[in-house]
Amino acid sequence: MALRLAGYAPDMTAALDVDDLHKAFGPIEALRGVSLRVEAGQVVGLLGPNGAGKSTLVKVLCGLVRPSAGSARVSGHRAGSTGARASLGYLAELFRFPPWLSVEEVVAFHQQLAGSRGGQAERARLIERVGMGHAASRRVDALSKGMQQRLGIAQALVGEPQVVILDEPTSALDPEGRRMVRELVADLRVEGRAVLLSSHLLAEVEQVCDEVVILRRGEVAGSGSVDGLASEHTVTIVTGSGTEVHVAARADVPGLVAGYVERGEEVFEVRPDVNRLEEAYLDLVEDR
Amino acid sequence: MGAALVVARYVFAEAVRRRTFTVVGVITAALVGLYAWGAWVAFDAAGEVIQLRNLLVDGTVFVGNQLSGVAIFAQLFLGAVLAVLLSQSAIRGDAEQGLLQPIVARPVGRTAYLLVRCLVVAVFCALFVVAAYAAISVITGLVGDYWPRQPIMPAVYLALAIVVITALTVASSVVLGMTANGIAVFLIFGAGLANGMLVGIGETTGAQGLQDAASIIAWALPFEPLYQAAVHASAQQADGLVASVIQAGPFSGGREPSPWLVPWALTYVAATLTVAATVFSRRDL
Repeated sequence: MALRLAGYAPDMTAALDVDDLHKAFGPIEALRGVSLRVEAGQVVGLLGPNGAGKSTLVKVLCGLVRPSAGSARVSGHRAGSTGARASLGYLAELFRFPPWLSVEEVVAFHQQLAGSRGGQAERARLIERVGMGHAASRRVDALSKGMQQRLGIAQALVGEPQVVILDEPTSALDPEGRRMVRELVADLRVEGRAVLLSSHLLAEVEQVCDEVVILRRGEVAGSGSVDGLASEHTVTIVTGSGTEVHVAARADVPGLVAGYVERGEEVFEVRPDVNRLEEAYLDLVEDR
Repeated sequence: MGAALVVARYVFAEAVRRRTFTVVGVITAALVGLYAWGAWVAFDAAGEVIQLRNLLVDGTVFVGNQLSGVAIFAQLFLGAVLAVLLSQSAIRGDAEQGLLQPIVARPVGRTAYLLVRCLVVAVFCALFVVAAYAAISVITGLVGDYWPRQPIMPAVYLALAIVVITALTVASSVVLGMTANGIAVFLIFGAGLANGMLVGIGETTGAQGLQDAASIIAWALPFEPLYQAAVHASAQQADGLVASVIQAGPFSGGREPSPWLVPWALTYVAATLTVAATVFSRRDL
């Protein structure tokens, strides 16, 4: 994922390629020039406060919402085209499956829609993968919200899509389910699939994502690797004359301590404080 | 085409699982049975001749006209109810519930999805009215020796009227939520039927302005003239005062259709679904 430079040309090889994307709903500008790229085998987290434009961006990529300007491509195809929809799996934030279908029938229905030839073996594997093997014949209207979310994840993986877009995949899941999603996303990365994970759960994004895009009021407020965004450290140094806090990278700490020693200070404690993703996120999205 | 068949099977399976076919079949059988009993009683009571004040009327023709007229109206009404209930949430209603998004995010064309949903409901509801019409016609013939003047055309007109109503319902479901759409289509349905009465009043009173206005509305809502055409094709001919008496009844007589009615109705359905598909393809979900 990278921010755009001048002279940008569409990248036909990227799994997801968004350039200067705009979307207005009447007078409300939901997206204002968003650009990002996700490569195969990369897991990118999409963060942002409520109303930042995350779901709108995801819906544009899935062909559910038409952009006002700019471009969005999925596996080289224009977002919303048949080719784009054929190459992605999507878990919506708010969704329902027909209550009269069983778990296995929902997956079979989406296999047919996606043109998957996986058959019974794929169904069994996906249902088992999301921990629903014991409930394969249960009707949707007899499933808890969390079980429906697991089913939603299974249907998103039908047909082994090269791009997987998960919008709040763990919102209704218990801790075990959340761990399952983390492991599953890690597996997808190993398999070389591109994953765009939209979530409010920063700790989760921090654990599974390679890179992060933070949206704020329809614009990219920040982006980069998780380590990069959370890399600003503060170092607290306690000396004989008091306590001082320095903004410094980890590599700067020996030099700072050496400076104190050269000045004849007694150094009692050196405490590096990692600025975690949550703090970086809040710095980026808070009103300035 | 493959995805369209998948959607067709999905809509059909939904109707099976929700026991729509079972409920419709059982209730229709009960209504047909009730109709058979009513027809037997009515023909038996009427005898060969009915005296209406000082006018003698052929009992078979009068009762047969009234019964088949009421039956055709009932079939139109039940077919319309079925069509509306099965398709009122086809697009926006399903989208509001989150049912539509996982489907149209798949490589299924929105136009194909809309057309297939309309087609499945239209075929089912049209078959329902045709089957009910056939049963009623046979019963009326066997019980009262009253057979439709044209055996096939009333079923064709009725089926086409239901297709028009289904197309209107699916089309308006693109912009209206489930409840609003159901109300809107039933209001339009009622307006169409009321307009049919205005045509009759206009013809009886000779009010040309009323006839012209009602005629325009009838072309705008072609299910009503199709219904009138079904009644007209079903009714056995009567002469003179008897014909006037029959024509005066609210459910009997019907109106002779324009030769352009069927082509116009087919064009109307195609145009309605084209507009709906265009709007749906541009709609954010």
